[in-house]
Amino acid sequence: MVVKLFGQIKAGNPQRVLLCFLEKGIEFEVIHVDLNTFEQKKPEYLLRQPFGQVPAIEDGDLKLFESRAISRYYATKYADQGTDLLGKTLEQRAIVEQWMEVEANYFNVVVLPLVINIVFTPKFDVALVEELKVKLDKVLDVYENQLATNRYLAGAEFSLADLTHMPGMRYIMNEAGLGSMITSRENVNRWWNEISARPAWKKLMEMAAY
Amino acid sequence: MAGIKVFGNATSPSTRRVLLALHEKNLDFELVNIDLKDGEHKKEPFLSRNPFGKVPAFEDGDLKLFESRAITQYIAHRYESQGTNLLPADSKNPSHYAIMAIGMEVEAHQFDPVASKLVWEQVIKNFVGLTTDQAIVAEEEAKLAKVLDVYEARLKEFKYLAGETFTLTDLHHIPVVQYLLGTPTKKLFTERPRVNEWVAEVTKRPASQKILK
Repeated sequence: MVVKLFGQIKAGNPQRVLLCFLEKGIEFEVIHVDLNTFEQKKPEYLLRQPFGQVPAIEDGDLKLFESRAISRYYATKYADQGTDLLGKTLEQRAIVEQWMEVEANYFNVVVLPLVINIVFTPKFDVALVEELKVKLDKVLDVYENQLATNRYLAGAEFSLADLTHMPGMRYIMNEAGLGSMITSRENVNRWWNEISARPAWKKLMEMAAY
Repeated sequence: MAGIKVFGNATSPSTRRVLLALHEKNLDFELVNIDLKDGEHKKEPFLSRNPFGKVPAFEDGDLKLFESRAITQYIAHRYESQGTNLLPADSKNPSHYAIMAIGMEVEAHQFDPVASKLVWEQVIKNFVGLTTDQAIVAEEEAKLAKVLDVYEARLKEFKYLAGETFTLTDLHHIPVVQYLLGTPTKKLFTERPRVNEWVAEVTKRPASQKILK
C-alpha cells in the first residue's frame, strides 16, 4: 500500500513531506492538485483539508494534513528506516522540535510573505519586502551563531529541523533572489551547501524539474 | 534533581502555555520572572536562553529549551505517566499521535496568528494606552470565524479537538482563548454551540484557573 500525497511537486509544503519520504525511503504516489485552477479550494479537496491548502496524505485508512504533522508522523513511524530525523533520545527530540518551531514561528513567517510578494505578486509592496528582509536578516544572524558551534541546527546530526527549512531555503536561493543573505554568512552557507547536497534533496529537485 | 525552571512572564500567552502543561502534570517548578516592560527578554542573560528574545525559556536539569510548543511536547512525553495525560490515550500509536499533531499545527498556523492579532488590538493596546483599530478587528474576526467553523464541524464529531480526550492540541489554545473571552470577539465562540461547550470545558479545568492568578 503506497501512501498518496495530494499536492504539487513544485509547492513548498508538499516538498517538506516528499523530502521526508525520500530521506526515509518510503514509497509514495503524488496526486496532482492544480493550484492554478484553485483545485485545493473545491469541495472534494476540502474534505481532505478543510482549510483548502496542500498537502494532504492518504495512507490506507489514515488521512492527514499539515506538512509538519505528516513529516513527524512518518519520521516516527519509520524511525528505524532510512535517515534518523528525530534523534535517539527524548531530550534530543525536544531540541529537534525546538528548531522545528523556530522554522515555523520565525523563518517561515517571514519567508512565506517574502516569497508570495517577490515571486508571485506582480506589483508587490516594496516597503513590506524591505521590512521582511530586515527581519530575515535578524533570524539568519541567530542561525549563523547556532551553526558556528553545531553542524546542523539541532546538533551533530541532520534532522527534521534542517529538512523543514529546505523548501523555503530553495526559494530564497532561487526565485526570490535573496541568495546573498545566505552566501554572506559563512556557517549558514556551509549548512545550506551540505544539506542541499544530500541525495534525497537532489532526487526531489530532479522530480520537480525546475 | 536540579528542577524545572520557566523563564517568562505570568501574563504572556506563550509562558502560560508551558505553565498549563506543568500544572496539568502537577510538576514542581520555579517561575523566574522576566520583565517584559523593561526589555529584559531582549538582553543578556535571557538572550543566551532564547536567542530570539522571546519568553518563555525552560530548563529541566541539564536540558535547556525555548519555543512553548516544543517545551509542552517535551513535558507531555517526559512526564507521560504523571498527572493528566496530554498525549492521545494510545500515545504509542503513531496515527493517533499524528491526528493530535495536525491539531497542534492548525492551532499554530490557522488559529494563533489571527487570534493573537485580536488579543493585541483589543487587550494589549488598551493596556498600554493605545486605541483599538476596529477595522483590523473586523477583518481578523472574519478570518477567525472561518477557522472556528472548521472547529465546530470537528467538535461535532469529537469531544475534544484531537479525539475523545483532552490533549496538547486543546491546551495550546487556552491562553489566547482566555484573553479573547474578555473581548467582544467572544461572540464568535458563543455563536457556535460545540465550540462554546469546548471553550467552557477547557477553561474550567483547575490548571486553566491556576494560570489566571
